[in-house]
Amino acid sequence: MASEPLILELRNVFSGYGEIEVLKDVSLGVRKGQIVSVIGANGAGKSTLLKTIFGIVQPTAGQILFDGKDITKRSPLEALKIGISYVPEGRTNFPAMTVQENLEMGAFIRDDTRAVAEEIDALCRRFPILQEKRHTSVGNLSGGQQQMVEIAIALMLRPKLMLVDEPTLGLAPILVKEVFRIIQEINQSGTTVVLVEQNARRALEISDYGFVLELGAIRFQGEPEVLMHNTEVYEAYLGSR
Amino acid sequence: MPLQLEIFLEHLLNGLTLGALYALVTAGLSLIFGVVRLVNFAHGDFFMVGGYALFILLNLPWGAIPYPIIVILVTLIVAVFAMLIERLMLQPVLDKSWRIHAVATLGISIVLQNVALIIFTTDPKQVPTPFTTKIVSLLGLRLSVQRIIILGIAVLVFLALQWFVKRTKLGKAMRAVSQNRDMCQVVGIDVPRIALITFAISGGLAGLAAALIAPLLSVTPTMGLSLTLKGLAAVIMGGLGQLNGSIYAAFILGLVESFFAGYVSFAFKDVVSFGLFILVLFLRPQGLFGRRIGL
Ligand SMILES: Nc1ncnc2c1ncn2[C@@H]1O[C@H](COP(=O)(O)OP(=O)(O)OP(=O)(O)O)[C@@H](O)[C@H]1O
Ligand SMILES: [Mg+2]
Repeated sequence: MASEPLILELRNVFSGYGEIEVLKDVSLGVRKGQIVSVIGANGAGKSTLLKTIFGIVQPTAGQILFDGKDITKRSPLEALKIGISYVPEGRTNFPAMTVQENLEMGAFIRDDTRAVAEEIDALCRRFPILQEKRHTSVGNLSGGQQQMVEIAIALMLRPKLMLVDEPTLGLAPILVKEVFRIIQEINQSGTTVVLVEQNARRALEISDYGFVLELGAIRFQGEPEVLMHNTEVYEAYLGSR
Repeated sequence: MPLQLEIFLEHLLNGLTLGALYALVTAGLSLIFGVVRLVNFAHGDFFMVGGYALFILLNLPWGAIPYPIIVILVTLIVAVFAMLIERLMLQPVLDKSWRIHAVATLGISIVLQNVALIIFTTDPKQVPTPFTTKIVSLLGLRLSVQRIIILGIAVLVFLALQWFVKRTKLGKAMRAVSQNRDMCQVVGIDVPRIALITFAISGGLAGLAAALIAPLLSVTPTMGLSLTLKGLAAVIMGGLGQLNGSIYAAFILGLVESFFAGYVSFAFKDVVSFGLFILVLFLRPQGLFGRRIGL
């Protein structure tokens, strides 16, 4: 695995919101085909990291490379076009639209209407809950079902890299397991995943690599076993709470 | 046919025509509010601009264009006009608070009214079409052809609008913007472009209303104000951001006004429609047709 090329690389990236600097000199690499977790406390800058990669927040310094190409200054639209999808934290769907329509919006930038329709059919076969609720307004679904829809929206563009922010927040344990299973399945069908999670232990269990973010900087990194056996990491993020 | 019934049917037809006018204006207000969260106090003035465009097109020195073509032209002119207003004046403030929206659109309204005043003076302009005075008899009823055209086109336009918003990719994108604007950039929906299209459609509806209904009124620089207010009353009565609810509410307002003016008092008809509006605010603040998220 370690010999796989880097699909994403951040070199000395700084970014934030106007005066507020959040990411401070972040460098990291994500290998093609892996699941990589980013863990850290509230306010550490995990969401800011994903927004910076996707282009919602522009870095103030440093470089971002995707597939070896410099993508430092790009809009979210350009990120989508080169194969990066983003599932933000919280409820991020179109609540008064049906599951079907939400998936169509996921493919908004595609013009091949027929292929999109087939793609939606295929997704509904793959995830039966989508088929079952296909013509229900997403706002009427349970939290777990909505999370599924949100992940499916991000799959509509067949991304090479998927950025997922806290997909299990507020879900019942059984659904947490299901969401992690689905992320693994998506990864197995070829999508590289960067996963931000509060649920650090579970996240590391399905990951190939992990980063620990503290106050906007990478504090630790390594294979999951290495991180889990690091006393500092263990006590701060993995010990029973 | 008994006279009583004939009078009743006449008020009904008048009320439906008035309702169609309010509904075309309201639909535009409702779309703009739904999609970009802006209360457009200049919306009635879009109608006024359409009224003067109609006046000019009906009085071209080199002879008249056929009325159906004029209707299309006025619709397009006001659609483009609304797009210009959006791009040049409103787009820079769309992210700002409702107070700034109110100041900006009220300012636009005042400027438009005064420019119209300078160009066209306060004299009301008559804009009769070949159908304004034409009457047909149907089952012993004498019907104004202009009013039949208004109702027919209004119903077709509302069906088309319904289809557009529900079924087309652009219409769905408009709903998407109204329901979750942040999510739009995550899926690559260009929010400023959708806002512009929304203004074009809303302006087009106001222009169409002017081309069809101004011939029954007369055009003055300040005619937009009361339309804006009636339109806003219908938007709120129908439930904020609910396109269909606001259209129904507009027809209710038109009918109530017409019957009240016919049977009780013409002078106080506005008191009744605004009274009804206040009553609805008290009894059903969420609007007659309930609350929903976005369009
Ligand atoms: N839009 C914003 N404008 C200004 N500051 C922001 C904004 N979003 C986040 N911040 C600040 O940036 C810092 C990092 O926030 P971020 O959302 O990246 O943290 P996080 O690690 O995702 O936290 P959480 O676990 O709570 O989601 C915080 O101090 C936060 O207050
Ligand atoms: Mg976060």
